[in-house]
Amino acid sequence: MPVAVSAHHSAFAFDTENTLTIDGTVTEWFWANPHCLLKFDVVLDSDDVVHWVAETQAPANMIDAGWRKNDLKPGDGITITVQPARNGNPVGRIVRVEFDDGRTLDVSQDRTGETGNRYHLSGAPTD
Amino acid sequence: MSHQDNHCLGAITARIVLAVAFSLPCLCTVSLAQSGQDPSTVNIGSSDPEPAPQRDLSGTWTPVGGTRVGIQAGGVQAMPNDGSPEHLLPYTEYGLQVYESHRALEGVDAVLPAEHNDPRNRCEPLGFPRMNHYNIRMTQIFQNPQKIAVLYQYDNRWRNIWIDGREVPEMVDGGVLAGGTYKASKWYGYSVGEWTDDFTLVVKTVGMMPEDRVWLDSTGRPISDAATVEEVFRRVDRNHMEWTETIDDPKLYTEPWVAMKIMFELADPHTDIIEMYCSPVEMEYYYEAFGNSASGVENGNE
Repeated sequence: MPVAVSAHHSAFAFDTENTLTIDGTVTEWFWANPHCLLKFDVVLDSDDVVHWVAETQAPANMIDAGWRKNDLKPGDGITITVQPARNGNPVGRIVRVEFDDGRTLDVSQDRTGETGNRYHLSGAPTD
Repeated sequence: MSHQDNHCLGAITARIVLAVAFSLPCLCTVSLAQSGQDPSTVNIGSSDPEPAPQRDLSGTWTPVGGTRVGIQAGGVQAMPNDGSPEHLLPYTEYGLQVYESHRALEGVDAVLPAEHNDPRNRCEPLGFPRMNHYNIRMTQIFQNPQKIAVLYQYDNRWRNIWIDGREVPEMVDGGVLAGGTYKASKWYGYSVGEWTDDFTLVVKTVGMMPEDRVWLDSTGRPISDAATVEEVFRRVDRNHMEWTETIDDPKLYTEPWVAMKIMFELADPHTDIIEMYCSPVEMEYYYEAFGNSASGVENGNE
């Protein structure tokens, strides 16, 4: 019987030594527990499209950092830096996101458990 | 940075947090002789010399140092599971066996994501005392002459502490005897508090769920239905309260040990607390969209 599993919090699945920076287009901003997810499409030179998913933090933390539930919308252009999954699948943990409107989402990489990630919003969020 | 390095950083951070938390009540001591209190029991922070109200824990409380202090993903706050010798717990043989059966996503023995068996990821009730060690953030406390209600932010869970003079229930197989009446084990147990002075409430909780239903923390440390958990809520001044927790679980640990000692401060009473639910639907979507792929498992199949 299939068993659902989770990457919630564990760092073992990700390459914490290296990052990957790619351009993409937002397809979904999933604002929920345990962690918000940013889904985006990346177009390769071959014109093939790869569907990526990257996680951020819980909504409570995102609100504390100045984010709102509807800040990101499908179609938004982004340049995103992630710690990619070790298994090569198009998933990762967000290190930094630059949005076309000038906002940035920076993450202090501190997943020691005692502090958790710290997210910083810069730029002016749109109303 | 390696995973082990991360744990070392966690230990350092934890020590800093502990140092800050423990130093707060020691800034200075003000005699409260006029109120009949032993001055040694009430320390007043220099930044706020106003004494606490007597026998009153009510308020909206948040950990000093911010949200990060209460997350405790790396294990209970006073004993993070970082592999350092001073943080090794005094397991019984059975306690170690139970710990080794838990496949946690955090801590020094964390497993790969596809291998975990943490009941939290099925949105099971965390139970007590794990509620004290999983994202303890904004915590509301209300009280009347009979009882104190503790409302946790995570999952909108709450528990009662009786302060009406009743005895701590007697533990029996599968539950407790409370006033001679059998009551079954509960996720949040049976809590009875007693004021030892006008600023200190000592609470004992028994009758929690057995070790096959609940964990103590996110690193897989166990807790059993044989545990007595003692909490001390100590108002050090009007704006601060120290919350200490000691685990006495002879089934799993050879001796009592302190799991938490966190200083809380009063938040603005008008604070509208953010919801932080564990939703099975959201959790399932999280698995489908992210967790399985990150684990090398697609749609639940290897």
